[in-house]
Amino acid sequence: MKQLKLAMQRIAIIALSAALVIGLTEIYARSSAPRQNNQGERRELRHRPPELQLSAFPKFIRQCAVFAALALVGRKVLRLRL
Amino acid sequence: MPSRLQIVFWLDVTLLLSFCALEQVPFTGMIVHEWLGIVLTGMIVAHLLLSWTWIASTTQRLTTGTSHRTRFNYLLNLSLFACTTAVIFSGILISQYAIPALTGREAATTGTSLRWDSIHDSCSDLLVILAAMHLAVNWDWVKAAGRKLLRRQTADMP
Repeated sequence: MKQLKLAMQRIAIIALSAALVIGLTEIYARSSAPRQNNQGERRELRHRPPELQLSAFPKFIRQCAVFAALALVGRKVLRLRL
Repeated sequence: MPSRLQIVFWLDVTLLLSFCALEQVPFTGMIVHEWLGIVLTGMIVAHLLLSWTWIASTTQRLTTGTSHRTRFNYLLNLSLFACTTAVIFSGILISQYAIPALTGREAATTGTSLRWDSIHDSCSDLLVILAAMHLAVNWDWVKAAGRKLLRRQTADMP
């Protein structure tokens, strides 16, 4: 029971911090000029496939590779600097 | 019963793979992308709760003075949290399937979407870099945890 109460308190802190970030994001969104509502973007939004495309699995692998490469670069840089 | 280390390690591995999948909408499709994003929110909360000791102690130590590495790590994690929150929030606002199904409200119109879509895209691009840095900073822990779990599994084998 005590642990649950502690977890709830921590979740409340996370939620409050998230609310603060959301507030700032909303301020930013309101202040930034809306992007031009052009045909290309409308078409792109419409053409996002709704269902899983197994044929695009290599793209997922590529994403993992990009992520690993970035982490590796980060590792090298951090080793040099910190 | 899995140990705490096993839970943390496998949660982090699942988080990493889900994150990579979320970055590839052409692979997951919008429906899986949105539901996976919602599941990921829960996993992130769990990740934060499991890292609470570090978060609390480092927050306290920040005022009394701590190493540059810890300060950098703290700032990185704070940026990661802010960026993730922005991505999740904008994702909720532009949701076409999951949020309308959960709340019963209509999906966002293209006009509303475009502004938040732009924020969602830019923040997710930044998130890839921040998450990769997060992995780089904690790589020693990942390596040690992986080795420990592998050793334990080998020892348990008949």
